[in-house]
Amino acid sequence: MLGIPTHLAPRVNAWSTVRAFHAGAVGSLVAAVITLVLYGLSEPGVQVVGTALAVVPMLAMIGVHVQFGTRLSAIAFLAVGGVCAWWFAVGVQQQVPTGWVTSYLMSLVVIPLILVGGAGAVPRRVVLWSFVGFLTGRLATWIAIAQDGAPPRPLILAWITLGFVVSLVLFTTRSTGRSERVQPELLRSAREEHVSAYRAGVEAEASAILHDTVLNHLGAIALAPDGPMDPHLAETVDADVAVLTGKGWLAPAARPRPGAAAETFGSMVDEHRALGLDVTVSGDTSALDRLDQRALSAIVRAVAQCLANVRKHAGTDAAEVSVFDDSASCTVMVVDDGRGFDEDATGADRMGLRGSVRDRIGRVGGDVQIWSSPGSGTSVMMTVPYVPVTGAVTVPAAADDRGAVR
Amino acid sequence: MTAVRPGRATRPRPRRTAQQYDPLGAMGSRPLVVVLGAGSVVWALLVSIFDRDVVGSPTLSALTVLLVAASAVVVFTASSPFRAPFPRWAFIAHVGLLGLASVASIAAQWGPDRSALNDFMSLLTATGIVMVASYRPWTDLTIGGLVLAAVNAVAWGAGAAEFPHEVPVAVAAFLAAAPTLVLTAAAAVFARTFAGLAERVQIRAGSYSVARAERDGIAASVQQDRSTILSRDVAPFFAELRTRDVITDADRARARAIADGIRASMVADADRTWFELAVRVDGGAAPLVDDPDGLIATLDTDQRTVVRTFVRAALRASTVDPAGFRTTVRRADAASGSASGPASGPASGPASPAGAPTPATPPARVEVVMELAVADSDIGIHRTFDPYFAVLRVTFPDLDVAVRPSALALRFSYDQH
Repeated sequence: MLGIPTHLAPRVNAWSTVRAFHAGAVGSLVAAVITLVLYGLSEPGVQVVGTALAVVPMLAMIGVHVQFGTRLSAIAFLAVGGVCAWWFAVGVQQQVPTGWVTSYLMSLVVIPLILVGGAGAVPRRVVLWSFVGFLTGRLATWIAIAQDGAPPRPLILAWITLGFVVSLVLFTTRSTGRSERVQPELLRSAREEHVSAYRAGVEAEASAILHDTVLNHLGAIALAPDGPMDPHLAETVDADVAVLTGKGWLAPAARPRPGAAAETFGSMVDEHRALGLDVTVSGDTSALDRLDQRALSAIVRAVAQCLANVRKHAGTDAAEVSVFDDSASCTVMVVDDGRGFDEDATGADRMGLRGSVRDRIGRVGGDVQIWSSPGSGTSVMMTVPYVPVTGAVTVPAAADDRGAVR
Repeated sequence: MTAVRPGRATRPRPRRTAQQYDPLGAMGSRPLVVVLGAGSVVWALLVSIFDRDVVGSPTLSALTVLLVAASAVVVFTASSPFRAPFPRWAFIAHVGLLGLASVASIAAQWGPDRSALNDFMSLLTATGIVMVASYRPWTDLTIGGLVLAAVNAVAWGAGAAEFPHEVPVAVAAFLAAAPTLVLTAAAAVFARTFAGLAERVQIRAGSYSVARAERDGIAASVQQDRSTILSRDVAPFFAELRTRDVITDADRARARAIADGIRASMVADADRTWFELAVRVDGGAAPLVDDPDGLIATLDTDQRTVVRTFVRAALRASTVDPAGFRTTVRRADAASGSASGPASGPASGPASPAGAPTPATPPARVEVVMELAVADSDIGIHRTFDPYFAVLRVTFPDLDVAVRPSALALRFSYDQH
């Protein structure tokens, strides 16, 4: 997670503050009622019910304002709140004429007027509404006090609340230019990161294709006996050069028709049979149809590389390919009983298993397991999920793309 | 959060705070902490000196002011972007100090109190909770607020019971707790709402997607790169070979040479990390990245995005010499010992997404050290890089920033993914 976008941060902050103000307003009224109730319980002679009822319309109007949140509902709240504050102050003057407690209680009903009207996203408006709310409450309570001929009440808590709202507005809406600059840079980096990971995936796939084709042919030429070039090798060399120097060999593939997956797989196997490998296919190859095009390309190419490895390195002319469907993923196993190998002892410059099998299957969210040891054959198990997995693999195979790569 | 600690997904996730969701916003609102903290100390001091109902104990009054000041210092220190996220112990210390101050203030003016106005602690405990609303989850705020409200209620209640006045004990106790209860509710609602909204609008590097047109462009560009090599080296060789009837020793040697060249370039491409590329793009000169095992590749997408942002900002800053940029990446457990041999295996690098069956081991820790030469004072370095440190610190909670005149060193670690 990288923070909140610059344009949304003030709104998230303002809306959270609005909710906090509403909670403070309701809490303040509840505290006033609890105080009255405690007073009534502690001193049975004091009648607090009539005074406590003054809070009810205010609470209702807070609900209305929270629901509608318009200027009209704010004005209505202030009007109803002002009347209720007067009503409450009259009751408190008569029933709880106890110095600071009276002032305290009056503050508790003025505080919602400061908070609810003042809740909003525009700083100047917040301060203005808070002042209007404070003045409304102050006027209402002053009238009640004057009616009773009582000494003036300072309403310290109400003053403090007003000061708090103003300082909150002053000090939390300031956003430094430096901070504002960083957030877009993060967005830019996130995008670059994505493009870079995608490119790394495409480059890795391109390398794997190059390995499977040109490097294989060059290797075959390097090992070829004196004399004319093998006709099959000459044919595939021509075909590959034509494809690789042409256009579109890395472009995303179109969605194939149903049944095409098994055919593609079958023709790949046939190519290896034509080269002299006795390949037995078992299991349900129609499971390959459920793979998306990108996963299918990956698994067909990876199996082809496994079969090429059997031909070149295993010292056997037979291999078995099994296809399994376990409802969530497709598993293909390539098994031979050749000479086997120790994977850790393979040279770092050998890209076959790493680039053409492991990384390739990893890029489509799949998993590869290899069981082999010198003298005991080799089993390669490739599992690819049916649902494309995005961003599930590590770099350089971290391409988070759903598009097909050929 | 899973992005930061995927290896510990089975543990319940701690609630994130507003500071963790929006480190830059929390940094911007830190002045409020300063104002509230300083205001609390000044108020406590003025009331203690000029507005005493009873003479009481000036020593305890002084202690009260000191405790309030200490709590403000704790909050000020812990809310620094360099120490993000605001630790729980600091919050507990803050609440504890305020609770003690509350008790001390009552003890300092133990006697027949006639006015609540000088019992400032009932308000300071309330603002104390509001001060940290951006830095702790709502659950912590609620518990802390309830504790302070209870302390206030008991302290005031004890005073009212000992020195009865017109106000019933229950009312006095409740009124002492009320400001803290009300502001705690407000602070908790703020923290909870913020977290809920921020969770929805949070920037996630992983949520970006590369547009189809761009994907085609990238594929075409990569293909062009490869086709160039093929057209230059391979195609002419093959064409030449096809015109002849036989393969000679010279052809075999040339085939081997071309294959070795292509393979070497492919291995180098596969081993180059995103970080080296990112540094090279922005560096210009030849910055040094010492990462023999390619461990930097094991950062997750969000982490890479944050590091990339800092590297770009640093290398493009007018005061930074790209040639003086050094990055060292090592396994934390092997940092001091001899390097084990994973680098020698063909497919054992971090780039292998699917490994052969291996026993499950806890994720290894990787330590990154970045050093830069900056032609600026330490104040200037802070001015330029503080917002980046704030974001880095939230992503890498153990980030250590060492700023000296003309030099900047960052050290952080993460679980190898």
